[in-house]
Amino acid sequence: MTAPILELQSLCIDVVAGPTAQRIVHDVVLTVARGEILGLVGESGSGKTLSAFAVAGLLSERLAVSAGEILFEGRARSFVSEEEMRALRGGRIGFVFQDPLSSFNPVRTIGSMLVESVVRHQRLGKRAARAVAIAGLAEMRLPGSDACFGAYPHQLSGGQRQRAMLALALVNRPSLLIADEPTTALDPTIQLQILALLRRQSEGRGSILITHDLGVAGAVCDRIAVMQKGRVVEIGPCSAILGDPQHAYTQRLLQARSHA
Amino acid sequence: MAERARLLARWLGSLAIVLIATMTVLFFLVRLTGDPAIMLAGPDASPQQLQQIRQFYGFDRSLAEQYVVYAGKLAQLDFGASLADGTPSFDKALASFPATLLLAMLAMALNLAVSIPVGAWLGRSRQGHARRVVRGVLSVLQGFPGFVLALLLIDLFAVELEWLPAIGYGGPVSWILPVVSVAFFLAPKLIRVLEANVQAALLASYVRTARSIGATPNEILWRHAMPNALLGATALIGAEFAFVMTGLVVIETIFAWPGIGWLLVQSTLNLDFPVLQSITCLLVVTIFLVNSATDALQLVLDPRLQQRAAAP
Repeated sequence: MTAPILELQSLCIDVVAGPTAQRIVHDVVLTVARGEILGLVGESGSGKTLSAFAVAGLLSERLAVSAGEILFEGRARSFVSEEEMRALRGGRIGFVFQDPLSSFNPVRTIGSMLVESVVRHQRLGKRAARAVAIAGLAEMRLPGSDACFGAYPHQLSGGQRQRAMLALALVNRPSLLIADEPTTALDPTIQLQILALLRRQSEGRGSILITHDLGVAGAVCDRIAVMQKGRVVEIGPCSAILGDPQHAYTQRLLQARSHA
Repeated sequence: MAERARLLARWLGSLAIVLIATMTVLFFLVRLTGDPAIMLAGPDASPQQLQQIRQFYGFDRSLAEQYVVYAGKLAQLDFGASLADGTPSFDKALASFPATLLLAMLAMALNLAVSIPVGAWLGRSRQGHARRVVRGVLSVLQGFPGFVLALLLIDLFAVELEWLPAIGYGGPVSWILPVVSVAFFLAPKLIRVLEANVQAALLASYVRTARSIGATPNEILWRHAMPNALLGATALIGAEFAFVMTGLVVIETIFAWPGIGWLLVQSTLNLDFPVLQSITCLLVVTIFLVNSATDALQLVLDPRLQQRAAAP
């Protein structure tokens, strides 16, 4: 097996705003391999989003990685400057967020966002970037990608917006995709379409799918890591986690799902 | 096309209603304030002279009669001759318009040029000494009446330092003090609003998206947050522009700036009704136009307000 795209080694995250630091993510150990989708599952506040956001330095200023190491494509995070980190964000690491309406700027067209990212990371001119952006939108199966290019976020449907968000995340062909609850704000039928798209786009890159829904994780992930109160309590292949959960918390999550 | 014609008709209709209402209120207000005949003839005039003047201008007829004549003349855009010098009053009001427009444009330009960077900086910066000092200065400026600021500026730059002329409309150098006085009166409000808007915008989810595609802090501020912050300030910018187009009575008087505000004071002192009526009519139209322009600007800047059915 080749080296993993991403490796978290005993990652700890502290709240650093108060007089004393308070640890909220403890010793998280994870790897993401090329072609694999890792599901990060847990309730709100379990630290799944923070662990993933720490990878690209998207943590808010009140939070800091306090111990452990993040290896992205073999490079240790502690040796990456903020400027290099910006080159990684959107270039090598793509993000998809939960609510695609509030995550798009209401006064910017979808196309202008993609062009901005392409110009920044691929160093193309506006015209060439526009072609790349439209191709990126078409790749996400957005009908009429020319029209979507000029559209404002409010003019698209929820499913179209999330496809556009995926196009923005993937337009520079990153090696890691981090999707934070990408289907939570969508209708069930649209959820399935977006998950299928995620699966198709996972080829050749590592993906992290953050979700509170074990069912969603089970539908597309290769492996699942269950997090609770800032710790990974169980990790393993999808079938093992869903079929034979070892940890009491995972069992409760599964039960909660069958009751729902 | 029919839709557009309908909108235009509605727009003209509301302008007409506003004009009729204002001019009616003005007609009665003006006739409650004193006897224009005495004003015209002077305190030493004989009763016969007063009578002649009342007959000549129609002041001796009943209010209802006067109103009918007044409304008829307004409908033909005839505002009558100025009581002071007999020239057509509407032309007189119009002639003072360019000076006010010049002052308003320059002051708003300076206001925006100062407010946008300062508001952006305050909205982005964290607590610190520099921020506290700037905010303190803003509070003081905001508490200053515009005319006090104008007098202080005149005292410093015209009287003490003798760098700039104290009054006038004589050329760019003489414009500096009036323009700065007005702009510094307007800027604190706009800075406050922009500061709050920038702060709010920087917390929005789309800023996180901007970070996720590698935008630098400056790009995030100017390309992602500022357009939204400015959008939220268009109403205030429109209101400030309407204010400088109509409400600079004191500033224009202090600097002897021959604009509408200055003419308004002169005609009020002379009880020059026709000129007052012309000015009022002009101001009503101006405010109406500025408000309409602000609405239109908001429509252009905020894509969410455009009722475009053509979503892909």
